[in-house]
Amino acid sequence: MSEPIKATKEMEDLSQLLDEMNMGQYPKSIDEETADLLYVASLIKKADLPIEPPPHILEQTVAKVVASLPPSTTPKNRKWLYSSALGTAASILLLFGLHLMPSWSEAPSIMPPSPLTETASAIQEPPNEKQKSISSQTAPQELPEPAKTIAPPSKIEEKIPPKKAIETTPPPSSLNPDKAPPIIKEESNMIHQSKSAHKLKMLPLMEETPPSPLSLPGKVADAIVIDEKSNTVRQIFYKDTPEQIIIIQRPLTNETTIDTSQTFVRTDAAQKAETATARNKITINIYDQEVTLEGYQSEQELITIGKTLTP
Amino acid sequence: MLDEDKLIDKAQSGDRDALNELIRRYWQPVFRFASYKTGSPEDAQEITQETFIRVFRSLGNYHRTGAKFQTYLDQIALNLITDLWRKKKRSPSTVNLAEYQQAININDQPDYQAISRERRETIAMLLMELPDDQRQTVEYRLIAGLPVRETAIALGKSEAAIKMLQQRSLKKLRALLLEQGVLENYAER
Repeated sequence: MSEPIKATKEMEDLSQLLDEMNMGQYPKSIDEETADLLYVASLIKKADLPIEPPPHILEQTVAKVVASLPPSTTPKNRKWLYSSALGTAASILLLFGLHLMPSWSEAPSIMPPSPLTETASAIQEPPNEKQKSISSQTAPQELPEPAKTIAPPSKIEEKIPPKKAIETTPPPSSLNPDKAPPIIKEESNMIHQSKSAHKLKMLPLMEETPPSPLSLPGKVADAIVIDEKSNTVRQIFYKDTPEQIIIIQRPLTNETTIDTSQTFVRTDAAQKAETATARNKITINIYDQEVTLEGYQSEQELITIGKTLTP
Repeated sequence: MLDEDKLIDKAQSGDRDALNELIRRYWQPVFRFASYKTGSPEDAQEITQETFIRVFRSLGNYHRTGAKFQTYLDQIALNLITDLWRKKKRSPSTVNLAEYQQAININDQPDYQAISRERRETIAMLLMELPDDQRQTVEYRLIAGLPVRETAIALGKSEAAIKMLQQRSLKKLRALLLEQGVLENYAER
């Protein structure tokens, strides 16, 4: 047997013996040189040195273990689960928050006349037609920003002199057309234009209409705001004076169809303006209406004034 | 073992690093156990993988037993080996774990422990004197007990190269052991 062949055979034999040793079998009859090497091998084996698995085996094992784990227990899924739960909770809170906001009709405010309202009010239309007209004029590009539309009361007077105010509703019988205060058509859809446009298309379905403005004997309101959406009429007498009084009328049965999401921003801004001017506030029921009076006067005085209101 | 408990918890939740670390720690004893009982490196490798899969899938049970992690691994491996034997209709159908542990853990025997530490340290030191490819061949072929094919894959060499490397490394180690006097001393015992 030639040397190379002999050497190869020795390597093969040794390898096979090592395999057997790894399986716990120890050969009995082998040549001395191989026995010496096997003995060294057994010493190393018994030393029980710690080693790590080969990288490819480790990766393979880890991959199989990860794949076999239930998907819900992986950190990624947990993160997703937590963020989903937080998102859902936030949505619910937001929803509740929006529903708990004060409605538009509870706190209507004075809107300064804008070119849009003037134009709108210049057209005499029957009530149903007015709604269509308003909805058609709520194109987003024509509407002012809500914050910008609320101006100090004094500027309202400056911009719209009472004589030039344009009447859009039939004048009440008790009111002298010559002395009639400006009536500002309130467009409650000035905040969320596109959304409100959709809502306003549904308004003709409402049966109620705003009540006719009540009047104080011998006095003419400095400003009148009619909110057809919430069926409220708002008048200001003695504007910007210590005697200023705000009268808000709404039908007693008017508790419906208030789009809180639409009026949220407007209401908030309007309330700020009101709190600066009104100190006392009373509500009385007269002429089938709920009438609220606000002013610096005492509550008793406000009640007395309220009793003098005439249709 | 607090660190190990933390690792196990992390592994249970799918933390790949923790899984890596635990498998790195316990792969060798499980594979050696499986090799010893099956007599087949291929079966041993399959059983080792399946052992880890089952262990991490049922870690809740492990927490309830309160056993050592190694013991829990051995028990699962043992069940798998028994199943394998049943499938192959080989005997015995049951395995005595205590018998295996006694056979494998020679180092635990009192008369062996005295020389164990010194010998282990010497062998570890001498292994480090080998060229890298020879040392890795010894580690995978002898200490881990991998077959030639797996060792060749791990080291990126041919099977023939591995056979040559293992022969050279053993000759070199024998020479080193003789130089250190370890081989003579141990042979005398």
